[in-house]
Amino acid sequence: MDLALIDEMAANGNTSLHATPTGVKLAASGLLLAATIVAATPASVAAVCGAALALAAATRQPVRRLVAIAAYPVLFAGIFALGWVRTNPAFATVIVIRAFSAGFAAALFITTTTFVDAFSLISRVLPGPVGDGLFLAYRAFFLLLTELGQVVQAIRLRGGAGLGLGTQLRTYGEALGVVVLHAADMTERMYKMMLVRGYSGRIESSRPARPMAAFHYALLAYCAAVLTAAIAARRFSS
Amino acid sequence: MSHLHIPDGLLPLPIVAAGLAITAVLLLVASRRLARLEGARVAPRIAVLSALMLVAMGLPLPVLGYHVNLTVLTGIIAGPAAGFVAVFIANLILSLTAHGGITVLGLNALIGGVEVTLGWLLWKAVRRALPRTRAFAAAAIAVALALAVSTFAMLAVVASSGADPDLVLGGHVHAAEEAHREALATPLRTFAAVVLSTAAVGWAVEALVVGALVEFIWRVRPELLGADEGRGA
Amino acid sequence: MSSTEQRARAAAATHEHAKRIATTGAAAPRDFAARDPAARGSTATNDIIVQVRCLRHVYPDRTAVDLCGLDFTVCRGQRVVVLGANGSGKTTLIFHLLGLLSPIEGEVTVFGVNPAKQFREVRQRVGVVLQDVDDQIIGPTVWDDVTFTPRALGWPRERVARAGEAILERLGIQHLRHKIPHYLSGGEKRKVALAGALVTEPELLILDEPFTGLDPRSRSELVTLLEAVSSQLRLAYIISTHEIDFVPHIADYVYVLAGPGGIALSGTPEHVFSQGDRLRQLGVDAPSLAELFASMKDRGWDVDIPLTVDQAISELDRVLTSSERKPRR
Repeated sequence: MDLALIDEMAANGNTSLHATPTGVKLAASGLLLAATIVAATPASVAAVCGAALALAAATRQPVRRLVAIAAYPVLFAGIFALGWVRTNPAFATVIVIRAFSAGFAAALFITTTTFVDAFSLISRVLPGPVGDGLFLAYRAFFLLLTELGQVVQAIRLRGGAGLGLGTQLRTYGEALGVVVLHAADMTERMYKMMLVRGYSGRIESSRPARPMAAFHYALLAYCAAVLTAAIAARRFSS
Repeated sequence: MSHLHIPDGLLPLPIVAAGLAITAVLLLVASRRLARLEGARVAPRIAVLSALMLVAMGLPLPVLGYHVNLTVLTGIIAGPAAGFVAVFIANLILSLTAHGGITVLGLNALIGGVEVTLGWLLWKAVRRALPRTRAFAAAAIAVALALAVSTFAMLAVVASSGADPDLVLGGHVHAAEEAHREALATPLRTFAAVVLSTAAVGWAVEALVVGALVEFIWRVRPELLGADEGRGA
Repeated sequence: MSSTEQRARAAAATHEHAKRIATTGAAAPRDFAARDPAARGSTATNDIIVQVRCLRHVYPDRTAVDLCGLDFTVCRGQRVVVLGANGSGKTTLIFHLLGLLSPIEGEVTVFGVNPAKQFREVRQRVGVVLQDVDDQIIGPTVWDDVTFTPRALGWPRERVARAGEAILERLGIQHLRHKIPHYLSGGEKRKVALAGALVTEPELLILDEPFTGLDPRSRSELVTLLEAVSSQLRLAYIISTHEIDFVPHIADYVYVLAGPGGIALSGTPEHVFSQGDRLRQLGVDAPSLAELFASMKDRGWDVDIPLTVDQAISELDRVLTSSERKPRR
């Protein structure tokens, strides 16, 4: 998981999906996710997955990178599926492909939508401090990531984390301790500046409105069609 | 890793919905309480804690590439309410990046909440019962136990769904058939065995790392480990 | 690059800046002769916007900061620079002015109120830019951040939009409005922070070490920007800095903090920088030109202490063309 890379893909990408309104992409990913959950056989869930991959390819996304991002949830699902491989291989297959397909739908959304755009939409349904916490967490993440990078670099320059495993783990623990201390100071500074700048309980974000175009309707229709097909396949198979 | 995120499509809808509903209620209650107690300080505090958890996950440790989660540390520093909100934010960001399920965000957040709350309670309990215990040991005990309990909680969630293909995929439900129940138990046992064996290594790794981290902070800024709600970082 | 070369470059940059102001007329040059220490004493009481009297503060780790000695006063439209070695209390002073700290002894007033208790009343009139601008950029995008304070103050939407557009244009950063701050360069972030501080057209701007981390060209640009903004908006500012060579161009009045001794020295730049030995005791360097001419004076040359390159050229012209070219001793 590389949040910085994902954010960079979203912020600097230039495909038709990047230019699509956030709400449309969220709805489209939601439809693909729903289709993934609804699909109940290996063939149908594979078809949903294939439809998502086709969408990514057609809109010129870096499919290999998206596959790598989506592969993580397969790990957990794979552990679960291990127990079913002999008794119900179809179930095991569905579980694994579902995990991948759902992950792919999420990856397709977040690599074409900056965190700021995503949070602008999502924070509307969250309590005030939680929504504000989302935006600030995003800011703080990059600042602390830089801190951690500097601490790890310092460790390397000064001879490494140690020879034994125990020593190394202790060194990394203390390195994280340095970052925690910086984080505590950052909290205070952030709080003070928010007070000075008049923070009154809501951080707003206004993003440029993107008008709907034919492509956006087509995208929604495509994903709706995938869901419809998945529902039909489930009804047909049961 | 010291705990695993449940992915989408594994659990039946009622359990997923229940997880989201409970999380929504807890989130509302916690954020209102925090806003009342801490005012403007809440948002930056939970934001930085969330960011810390996310950053720590990017540090691969020299044990099979494990990474720490810092959920228990978050509980020790911030208490259960702020800790739960911070865990929710971190899980939301992770779910958006395909690192945890989106539909099961509620359940994953609740499991993280178990770690936060238990970690906070155990840290205070060990410090109170055994005041001469070193901070390293107290933190390591809190981490190991909290993560163990949360892993069992996660297994319980998965098991409570019956891990029944019929429930998950929707089909003919074989209610109350001995053979069917036995058929479901075997894969669950396999799953539990794999999870527990891999997670146990993670508990140990995180206990050692967080123990060292807490010992370091205890020496330098012990007030950060005040661990009452509304105080700390 | 040696420190001598760095100073020479900084001085050259200052000279360029001074020339630019002289030729473009961007701001009325504050003349060497016009900044008479005596003139300041005639300021009417109702022109005083900041007053600090014998401030004492103790941090949680028991570090005590004592800013007694001379009073700290800022008048309307005045440009004040605060100098001092590391740990002398510059940031502590600034945090007290912003109401973020409360003194255990002493009195702080900003626009007539105690900022620790009533900062809300003066928030619109005070802008601030911190040393690390990442600490103050809160908004998800540049526009969100720049308009953060007016929205927090409850301004109507149209007024927020007008103010935001105006300040982006004034600072030349309209093209950044939809950008995410994380991806901006250091210089761009600084301009965004400055825009956020100026959007409400404050009467007082406080800058804590604004030149830190900037290359000489960026420092010159910031000085030019501050000059332009302060004259266009009739803004008073308080700048804490170590960049001595810029001080003559940006200050009407200088305070030198001495750490435990509080405010040790104050006056116009000419008055302060003519006291080289005292400054050295306080851990502060005089501008390179002042040091050079002070050394010449010590060797018997009949020179006044200039603070800018143009003044130095005039002094050298005078001395070298006078009948007495050699030092007296």
